[in-house]
Amino acid sequence: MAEHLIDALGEMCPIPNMMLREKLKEVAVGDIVILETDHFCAKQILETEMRRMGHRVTAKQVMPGVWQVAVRKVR
Amino acid sequence: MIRQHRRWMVFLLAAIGGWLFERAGPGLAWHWLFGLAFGGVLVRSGVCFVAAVRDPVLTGGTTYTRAILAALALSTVGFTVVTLITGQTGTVRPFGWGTVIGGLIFGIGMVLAGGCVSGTIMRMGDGFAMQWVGFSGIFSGLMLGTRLSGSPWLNRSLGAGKVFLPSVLGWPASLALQFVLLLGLWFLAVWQETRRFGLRRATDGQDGLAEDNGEDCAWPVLNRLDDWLRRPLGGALLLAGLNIGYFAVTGRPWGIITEMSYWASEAWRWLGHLPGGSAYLGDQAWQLQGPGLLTRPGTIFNIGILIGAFAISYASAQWRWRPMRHHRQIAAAWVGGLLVGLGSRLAVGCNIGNLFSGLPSLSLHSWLFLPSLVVGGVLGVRIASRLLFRPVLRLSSERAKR
Repeated sequence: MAEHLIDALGEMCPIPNMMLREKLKEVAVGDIVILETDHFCAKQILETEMRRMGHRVTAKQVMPGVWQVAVRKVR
Repeated sequence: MIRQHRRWMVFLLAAIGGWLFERAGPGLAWHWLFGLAFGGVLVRSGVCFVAAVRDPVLTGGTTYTRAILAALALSTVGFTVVTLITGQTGTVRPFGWGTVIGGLIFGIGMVLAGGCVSGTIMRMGDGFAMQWVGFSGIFSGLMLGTRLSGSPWLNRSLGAGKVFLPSVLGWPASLALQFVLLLGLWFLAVWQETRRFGLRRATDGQDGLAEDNGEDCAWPVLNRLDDWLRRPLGGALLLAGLNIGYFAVTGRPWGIITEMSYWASEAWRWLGHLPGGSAYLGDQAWQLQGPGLLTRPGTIFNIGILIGAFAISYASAQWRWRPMRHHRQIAAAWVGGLLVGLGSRLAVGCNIGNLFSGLPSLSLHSWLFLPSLVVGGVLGVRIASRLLFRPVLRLSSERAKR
């Protein structure tokens, strides 16, 4: 069970979404991918879309204006 | 997450600004207060009109699309009640080929710039460097557009005039048509999402990491409002509620770019060029001689959105300066902004006046603008994928490997 970190600070929407989707294709089932973004809308969209894809998701604000979205690949 | 001591900053800003503007002219305080509220709701909810058009095509996600459709349905009810009580119609505008071509250009531009006009101003308040560049693009587009707006071609292209649906079809038929079309779009969104994501139910959250809600505010009302705001649907419905309130109180629904086009024409005047005559703008645009720019309701409202977005973002501890990652973003923001500004002049308005306020006002121009905006958005996704998204993605993954 590995952990992967994606740094998406300063990336415009929808780049964070595309980065996370690309990473999820590479990693093994059970791995956790953590994406860090300063774009609140991207965090909102990632949270709902990743849950819709069936993954386990948690999001939290780690410092003012920066969010981490943690996704555990389920399938 | 609302910081205790910063909460007072917002109230002071609202009160002092409201008092000053009310002294400058009766009723101006409303525009300031509603501007702040729109900015605050936008920044806290992250409701994004670009995502609503872009994501169904790009990823199949329709969260914001459905939220905005629900908001349109709610505002249709609210606007109808206001119109029936006060006799005022909302945003009813002329249309023609300009609407179609303008919507197309606008749609392409907003995907590139990463924000529509309201989204750009909200993100400027939230500290996004990219949107400050985007704003300069929008302003350049508006200056170009105000020059074009005197052209006979453009005046002819909007020659179809204004159509307020209830005055043609009657109220029951126009409302029925409106809700059938909105419901149809909602089903289309659900169908698209199911096609891309499958029929699986979404999982709920909480997997190891605890959700951080920070320090809560001492006022439970504000906390509950904030919880609502943090959901796309809650945010969109609150925007609809604010829009109905703004229309009821001031007689003017939410609009943003028409006022900015007055700034552009003022800039031309300042440069020594007086804009030529224009059939569709002639009744309003070049009449700035009256009150100064800072006592105009629309200007106060637009500045309110910017300041409101900043203040609420700061008070809820999410403000930071957000620099860009790639040089390409500068070009994308400026060119996208230029297209947004230009498109909005051809179509006489942006997605707010032509959609979010125009559609609930039962104006025919909105139903013409909507499909061309969507087609523009699809084209925008194609263009942006090739020139912006994929190159940037490649750069970032190379950087990650190093």
